[in-house]
Amino acid sequence: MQPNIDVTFVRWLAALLPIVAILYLLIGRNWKAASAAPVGFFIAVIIALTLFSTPVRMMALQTVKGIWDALFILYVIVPALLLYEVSKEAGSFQAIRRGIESYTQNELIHVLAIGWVFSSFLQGITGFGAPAAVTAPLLVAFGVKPFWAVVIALTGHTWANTFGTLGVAWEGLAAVTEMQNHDATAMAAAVMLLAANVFAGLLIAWMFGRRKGLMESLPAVLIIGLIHGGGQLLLAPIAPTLANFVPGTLALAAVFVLSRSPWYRKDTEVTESEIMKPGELEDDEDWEQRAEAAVGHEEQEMSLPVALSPYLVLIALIVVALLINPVNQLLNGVQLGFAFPRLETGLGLVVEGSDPYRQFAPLTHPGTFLLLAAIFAYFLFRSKGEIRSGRITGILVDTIRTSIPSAVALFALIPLAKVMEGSGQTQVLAQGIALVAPGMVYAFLAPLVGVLGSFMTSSNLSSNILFGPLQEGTALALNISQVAVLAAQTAGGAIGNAIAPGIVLLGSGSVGVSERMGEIIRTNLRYVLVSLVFIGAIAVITAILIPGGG
Amino acid sequence: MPWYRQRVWQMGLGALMVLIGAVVIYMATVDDPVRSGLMWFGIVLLSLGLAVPLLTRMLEAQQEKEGERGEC
Repeated sequence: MQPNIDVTFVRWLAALLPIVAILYLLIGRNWKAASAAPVGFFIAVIIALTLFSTPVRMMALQTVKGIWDALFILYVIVPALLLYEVSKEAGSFQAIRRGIESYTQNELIHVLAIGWVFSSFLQGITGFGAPAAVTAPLLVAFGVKPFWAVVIALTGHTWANTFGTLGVAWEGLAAVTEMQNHDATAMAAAVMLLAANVFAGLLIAWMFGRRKGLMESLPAVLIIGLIHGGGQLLLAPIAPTLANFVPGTLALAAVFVLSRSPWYRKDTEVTESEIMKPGELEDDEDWEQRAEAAVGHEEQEMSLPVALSPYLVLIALIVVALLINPVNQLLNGVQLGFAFPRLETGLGLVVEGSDPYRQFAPLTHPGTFLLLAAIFAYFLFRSKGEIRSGRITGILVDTIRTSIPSAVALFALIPLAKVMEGSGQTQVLAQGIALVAPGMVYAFLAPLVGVLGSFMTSSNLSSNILFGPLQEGTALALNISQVAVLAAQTAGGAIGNAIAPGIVLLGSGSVGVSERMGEIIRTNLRYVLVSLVFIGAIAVITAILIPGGG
Repeated sequence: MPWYRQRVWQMGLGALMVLIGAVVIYMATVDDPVRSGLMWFGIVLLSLGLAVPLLTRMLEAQQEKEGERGEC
C-alpha cells in the first residue's frame, strides 16, 4: 500500500505539466509525437527530481524499465510495417480489391466491405495509420468522393484499435498499469468497442444512402457487427492478441458470402448518394493513379488466395503457438528478463524490486509471428514474380524509416509514464481529480481522457501508456471499478483515432484532401461524441456491477 | 541529400543512443554501490539521444530563417 502524498495545488499543477506540454506542442504547435514526447519526458524528470524528491538512481532505472517496455511494443510495430510494405510492394491489396469487385457490383456493400470490414482487418494486422492510408484511396477507386473516403476509412476501423495490431494497445495498457482483473477489463472494453463497431457500420450506411442505405445495410451490419464485436468479446479475455485479427479475418470471409446473398447480389436500391460520384472515376485518371500508388501496382494478376496467404499463415502461427497448450509451454520456455532493485522516493513512495522484470518470450511474442509472416510473404510473392529481385533493400529501408519516429516517440512516452508513476506524479494527479469529481461522473467521463490521449498522440497505444496509470490511480482514489475505468480508457483511446490529426492527415494526404483536415475532424467528431456516450454509459453500468476495488 | 542529413536517420541515431544509454545506466545502477560516473555517462547519452528530434527541429527552423533572410 503506497502512502498518500500531500496533494498541494502546486504539486498537482506540476504533475500535470508534462501532459499539458505534450498536448500544447502536438495540438497548439502542430509538432509530431517524436518531437513532443521527449519534451514531456524531460519536464517529468525535472519535476520528479525537484518537487517529488525522486533520487537520480530511481529516475534512471524507471527510465530503463520504460525503454525495456518500449522494445516489446517496437518489436510488433517493425514486423507489422514490414508485412505491410511487402504486401504493398507485391500489390496484394490490389488483388483483394479485385476479389471484392468480382463478387458483387452493389456499391453499398463495396463501401462497407472496404471502409469498414477491410479497414478493420488491416487494423488487426498493421495499424499505425495504415488502414486509413490504404482504404481511403481504395474507396476513391470504387467511386467514393475523396472527402467521404477519408471520413469512412477513419470511422470504419478505429473501433479495432485496442485489440488490433495483435493487441499491442491492450498490451501497452497492461504494461503500464497493475490491472487487477485482466479478463473482466478485456471483456468490458470489448463490449464498449462492440457498440462503437456496430455504430460505425450503421453510420457508414447512413452516410451512403441515408434511411434507404441504413435499411438496406441492416443484414450486413448485423452479421458483420456480430462477427467483429462478438468475436472480439469472446477472444479478448483468453487471447487478446487474436481478439481483433481473427474476427476481422472471418468478417472478410463473411463479406464475400454476403455479397453473393440475395440481399446484395443485385445493385443497390439507393439511387442518389451524397458520398458517391458516379462516373467521376472513369474521367479522373489522377485519382486512379493515386489509389494505385497507395495500394501497389496493378500489372500483376495475383489471385485472392495468394494475396491472403500471408495472413492465413499468420493466423496459423498464432493459433499453434498460443492456443495449443503443450506447444505454448515449450515455446514459452525461452525467456529473457532483467532484475530491478527496490526503489524509494524521498516522499516514501516505493517501487518494489522485481527479478526478473517483465520477461520477454520471443517465441510467443506477436512480433515474431508478424516477422515470420512477412518473411513468408516476401518469399511467396518473390517466387510468383510479384516482387522484383533487389527490392528487398528498398522494402527494409522503407520499413525502418517509417518505424524510427514511432521508436523515438515510444522511447520518450513509456519512460515518461514510468517516471511519472515511480515518482508519484501520476498518483498526485489521480488524488487531485478524485478530490473534486464524484465517482460515477468520473466513470462516465473516463473515455474522454482516452480520446484526449489518442487525439494528442494519434495512437491508442500511446494514449493508454500516457493515461493508463492516471486512470488506474483515479479509480483507486475514488474507490470505483478499475475494470470500468481502464476499459473506458482504452475504448476511448481507440475511437479517438477518428479525429487524431496524425491519422486524419495520413488518410487525407493519401487522396489529396489534406486542406480539408479540419472539416474531416468536425465530421468525425459526431461519431466520436455519440460513441463516447455509449462507452461512458457502459462504463457506468460496469462500475455499478463491479464495485470499487474490482 | 546524404542520408545522415535526413531528419529521420538522425532520429534513428538518437534512438540508438537512447538504447546504449539505457544499457549503460542499467549496468551502473542495478547493484549497490552505484557507479556514479558510468550512470551519469548513460544519462547524458540517453538524454542526448532523446534530444536529437528537438535539436534537428531547431536546426531546421534556423536554416529556414536563414534561407528567408537570404531571399530578402
